[in-house]
Amino acid sequence: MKKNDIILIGTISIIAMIFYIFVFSKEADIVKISIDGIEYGTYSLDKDQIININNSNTLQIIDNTATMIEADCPDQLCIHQASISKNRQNIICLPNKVIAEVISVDETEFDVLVY
Amino acid sequence: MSTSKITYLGVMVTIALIFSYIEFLIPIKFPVPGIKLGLANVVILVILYKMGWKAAFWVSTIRVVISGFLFGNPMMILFSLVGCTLSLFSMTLIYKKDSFSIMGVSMLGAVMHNLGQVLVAMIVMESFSVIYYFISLLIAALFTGFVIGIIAQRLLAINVN
Ligand SMILES: [Zn+2]
Repeated sequence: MKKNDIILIGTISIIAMIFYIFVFSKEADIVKISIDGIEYGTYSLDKDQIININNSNTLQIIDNTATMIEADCPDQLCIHQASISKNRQNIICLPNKVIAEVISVDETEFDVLVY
Repeated sequence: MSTSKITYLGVMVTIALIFSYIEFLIPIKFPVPGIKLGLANVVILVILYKMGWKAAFWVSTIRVVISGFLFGNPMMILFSLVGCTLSLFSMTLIYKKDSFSIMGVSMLGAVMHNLGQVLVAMIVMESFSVIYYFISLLIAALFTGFVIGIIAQRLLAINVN
């Protein structure tokens, strides 16, 4: 290992650490779903519910945690992704261009309509 | 290019494909296609150090296209091509000056590989949020890059002529 290796490891670790401490550590309150970059809907994580996304994906919310439970995409990678509950975690369905992102409200303006 | 060099690179593509297959069998699923341990990068690193970036580029590109057809889909080829090319580009920039060890070179390569894939995902998904996924994978990339670097270092120490 050389000095530059340590600098590289240090820099990247610090960037990651900053995000873990200030972004990913917060509990999320809402899940924002977008399709093709266009917002589809925002839902509260406080309410247990099953969300039908455009008849292609199904997102389940239980105990403030969102999980993709069904999808009609060929790769089925989205339903194998871990459940999300921490600020800025997301579940992506690439073939359907669906992204579900959980967000902590104190960092958004909360002017969005929450179901 | 001499016949022996072409044969050598052909063998390297084959080894890289075997690594890709081993990884294909390991059932760790990531949402952005192609983000994984990157065992095939061992081969790319060895070629980069032994024969330079041009040879490494060809082995990398041929490996990605063939493994995409064998174990993946056309979308995966696009993601992998961008990831592998950005990774090789960044490694080429720093490996020669001898200011980084092969582990450092490999770690930067792993991070840039993920970045390349996430950039394609951001464009495909038309969403900036995908970048958080890249950040959450930074430490994992450092770790896998380090392991890949050590393996490549051991292989380079064996002199086969
Ligand atoms: Zn999916």
